[in-house]
Amino acid sequence: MIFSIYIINKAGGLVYNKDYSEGLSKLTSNEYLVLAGTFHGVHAITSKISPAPGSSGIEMLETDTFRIHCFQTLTGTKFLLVADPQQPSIDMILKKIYEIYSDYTVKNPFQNPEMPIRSEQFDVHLLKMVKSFNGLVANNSIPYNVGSNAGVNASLQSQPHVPSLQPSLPNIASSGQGLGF
Amino acid sequence: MIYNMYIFDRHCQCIYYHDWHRGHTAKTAFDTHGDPLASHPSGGGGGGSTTTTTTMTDPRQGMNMSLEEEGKLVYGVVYSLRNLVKKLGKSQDGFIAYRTSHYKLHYYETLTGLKFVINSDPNVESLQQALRQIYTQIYVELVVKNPLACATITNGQVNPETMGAEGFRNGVDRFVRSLTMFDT
Repeated sequence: MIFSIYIINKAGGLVYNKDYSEGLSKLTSNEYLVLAGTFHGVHAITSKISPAPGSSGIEMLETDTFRIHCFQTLTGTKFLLVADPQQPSIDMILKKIYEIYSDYTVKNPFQNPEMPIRSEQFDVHLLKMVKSFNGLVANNSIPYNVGSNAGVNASLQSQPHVPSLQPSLPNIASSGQGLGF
Repeated sequence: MIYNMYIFDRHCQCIYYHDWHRGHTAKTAFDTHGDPLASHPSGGGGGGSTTTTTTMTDPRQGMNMSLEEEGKLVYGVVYSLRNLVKKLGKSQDGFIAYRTSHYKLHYYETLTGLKFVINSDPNVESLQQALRQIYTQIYVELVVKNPLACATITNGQVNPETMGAEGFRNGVDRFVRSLTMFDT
């Protein structure tokens, strides 16, 4: 079960946050900003206090009710995924979020990477993806990629520099289906 | 593999430190006594002369962090994360551990506000139960029930060396060395 997704820019500001289920307590928008800033700072410090040299920052935070997985891009943007401790295929989800982020935010000429993300397309695709993993198969929702495979494949063919994503596609679709039903 | 362990009291004071498999660079920088059993926080000052072997990847290089400063940072991290988790989650003290690419930090807090922190390699399963055992079987037995050790804590003026009464230090050492993941 995916609880929330946060995106933190390289300066520690929260640029996107969305809750997908009731697992976590609701916070005010100010508290979310504080939370993002705290995590950003802690992420920096955790690489400094490593007992073994050359450590990265915090990658996974484990608590009794949820886990926070952090994926940092080379440009310093952090994707936080709050999920159930039993949630499988975390890496794939994070990769998928990054893919959606690249497609609908980075490629948007009106979007400044340091500014809050206000993009309906981004919202919609993220929600679709999360639903497919959360298995919330209501009467109208379809697992991500099942209906839109053709479109995704077409868009991938137009970007030959990301060939690694293509082989993983059937995989995602099948796991989405497996979880969905 | 278990790297090191900290205990903090309620007042952000690092009252105990012990290392086992610290990276060799850090060890020479911090532990001027050589013997891990004899290492204690007061050895942290002697880092300056022996840092020549550090590589570019050593996070401490350039910062020249003493053990005392490092303890404060560790406390800051666990304190922030604990509050973050408390705010986000619905339960009290749910923070168990965090993992980076090179280590995993395990956390256990007692009801009295004592914080036990242990660092291991990232593949180790949860050590919270082990920390709990260190508290109930070693700390309570050898420190809480030891009037001399207690006096040094409640006095307000905490002395980490006297607090780590030899019995406690040996007990922790023996316990941690007996863990299956100690050397693997």
